[in-house]
Amino acid sequence: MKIKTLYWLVTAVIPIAVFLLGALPSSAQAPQACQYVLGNLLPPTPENQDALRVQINSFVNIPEQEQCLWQLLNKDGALTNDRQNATVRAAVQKAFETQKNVTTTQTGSAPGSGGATSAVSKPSTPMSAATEFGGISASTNAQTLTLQTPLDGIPRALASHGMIPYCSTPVMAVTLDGKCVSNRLLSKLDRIGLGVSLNTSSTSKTASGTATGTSQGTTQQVSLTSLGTKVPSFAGVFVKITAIKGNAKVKLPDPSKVVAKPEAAAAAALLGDLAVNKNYSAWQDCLRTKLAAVPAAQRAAVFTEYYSQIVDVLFWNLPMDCTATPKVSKASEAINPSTLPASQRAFLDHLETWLASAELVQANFDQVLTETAASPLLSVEYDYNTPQNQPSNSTFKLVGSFSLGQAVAPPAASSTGSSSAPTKPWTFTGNAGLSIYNYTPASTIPNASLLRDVQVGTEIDRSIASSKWPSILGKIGDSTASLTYYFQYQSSPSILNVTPGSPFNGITITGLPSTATQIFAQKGEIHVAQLKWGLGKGKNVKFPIAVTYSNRTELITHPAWGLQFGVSYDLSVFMGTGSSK
Amino acid sequence: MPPKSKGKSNPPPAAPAAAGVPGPGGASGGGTGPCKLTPMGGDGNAFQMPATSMPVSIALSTPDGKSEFLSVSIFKHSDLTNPLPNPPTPSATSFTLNLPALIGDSYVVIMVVGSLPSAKPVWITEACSGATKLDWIATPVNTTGEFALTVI
Repeated sequence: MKIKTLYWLVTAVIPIAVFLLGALPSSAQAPQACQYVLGNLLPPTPENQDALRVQINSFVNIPEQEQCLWQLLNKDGALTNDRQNATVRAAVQKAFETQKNVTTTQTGSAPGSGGATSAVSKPSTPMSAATEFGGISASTNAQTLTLQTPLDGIPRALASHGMIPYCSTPVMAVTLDGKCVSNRLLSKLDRIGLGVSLNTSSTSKTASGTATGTSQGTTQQVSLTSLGTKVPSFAGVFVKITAIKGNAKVKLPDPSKVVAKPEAAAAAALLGDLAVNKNYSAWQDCLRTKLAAVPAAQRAAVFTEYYSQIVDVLFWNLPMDCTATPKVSKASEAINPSTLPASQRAFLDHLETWLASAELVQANFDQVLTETAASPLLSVEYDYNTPQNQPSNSTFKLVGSFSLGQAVAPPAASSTGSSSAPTKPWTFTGNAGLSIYNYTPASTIPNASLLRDVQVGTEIDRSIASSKWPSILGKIGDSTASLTYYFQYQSSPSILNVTPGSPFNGITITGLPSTATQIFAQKGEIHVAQLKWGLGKGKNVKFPIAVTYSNRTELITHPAWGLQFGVSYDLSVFMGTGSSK
Repeated sequence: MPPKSKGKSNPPPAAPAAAGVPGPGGASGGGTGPCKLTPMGGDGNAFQMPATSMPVSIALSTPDGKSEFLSVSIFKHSDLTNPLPNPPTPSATSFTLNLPALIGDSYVVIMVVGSLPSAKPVWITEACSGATKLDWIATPVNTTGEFALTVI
């Protein structure tokens, strides 16, 4: 008999009990945003009476509980797509606008690559493509194409298309129950930037020819063959890791810099919708009574039984049932936004508008909070360079940058098409690094060692607002003027790989022995001064143009003037995350 | 004879502006003067005060200093679509209302608060000796607060 009882207990009673317990309302069923509010209500003691009344009033006032309501409505993410795109696009665009405007981002290739227009590296990596002509310490000019992106670039782009859920703020993370790519994660990924440079001035531009046929007086037919490759060659790759970010010290931003009125307008619209709903008043009255009367431990049950009826009241036109009897409820059913009557569709629109507004306010708040454009940044950079006809080398560099001055948004931002993200006017950047050959140079080269050179550089950038000289700069837009000094001590002579009888681009050497495979120049100190003007600040297309003077180049021991220019394009535009400016 | 202006002029009652006077920065809830706002009825966050007692200072009481006022908008309850012009400019923790009497209607004051991710909920109070509690905002999840004000 006892064994039979135990058998029934195990096979039937316990499973049924577990099932029923699982079906019972529990605090775990309250959405996360609602739980947060519930959990912060004061204990119902006599001294808390007045304060608790104010708290309960807030909790039953839907224009103050949009997150909670939306989580109640968004069963299994049914409404997520209804609001995701517009919200995300706007928030992500903010991030990219900031990135475009700052003077701490590298617009082109690393200085070690052949065609670089910049003598020093910048700590941040934008999602961009840049083609440049120049070269800082190289003896011959080259043209390069550089593609670069921070690691968060692709996830941000996917999120902007609604392909992955995105929560740029804690508010949104709660709303989506944490099932989204968070701003925290993206900020970590943003610390790593990758770039690859291709040499587009390849040796195919050099050709060799052989006379064919017979001479026709002063003319002669020849057969020409291009030398070297016909496709862009690999020039280098770089990895940049941000060690210190600008938001290390957190303090509340100036409230006047955050645009928050759209959120208030959306809340007012919800208030207007609810003012004409009598069932809503009944729901509020019921909840005030119930929540004030129960001990704190029973609030979750009150929530499940009564608070969740807000979905019935607002979307299923059911009256509020404040009795203890079993309810007729459709609260567990998913809302189909496409079949809602006009008034309920309007309410849902207002709710989603509030959520989008709150998201933008938070994005704006975070943007001003971090002031990425103005804070110190320190990055560690590794460049793998394969200069044309030279042994490959690796450069290890510390890159620091900080901005000074009052951060202001361009006053004529909308009319000029410039970004409205505020930036500080002065930016100082410093580099210190060393470069090594990837292979030990031949012992026959005097004074050659693995260490190729040590280098330091500094750059001062000054933002120039077009509004200051509208008659001159009005058509050009905002820009940046930069002054750069770069020093390189060559501890080993520069080495060139040669093939006797095969000339290479830009350099002609006579009297070379047929056995020579490498030539080297005289080592020494290189001092470079550069004046640069960066057009297109805050826009998708940037045009850096620079004039450089150096006392010598890597190979030539005489002073040289150089001209560098380039075009950098913000690739986020193609990802749907940037503005079309 | 109308009273002499002290540099500010209240708009006519027919088209009241949400004239705000920037409050002293750094306030965090309390004040020293007598409280002017009285609750209307037992329920809801509705308050009233006489126009002659204007202006009134409102404070953000934040336990951890991780939240601040971002904006204040004022509507008439009968028209929640159009905010009144010239709303108060809040400092981080306070703003001041200076509103004329409104017959047969009430004002709706909507506040937006910005918070750090680790912020604790905040109280909206009148900056007076009793620190009358007007609203509670469960930041950082919620960021909008609201109370109704009848000015007689």
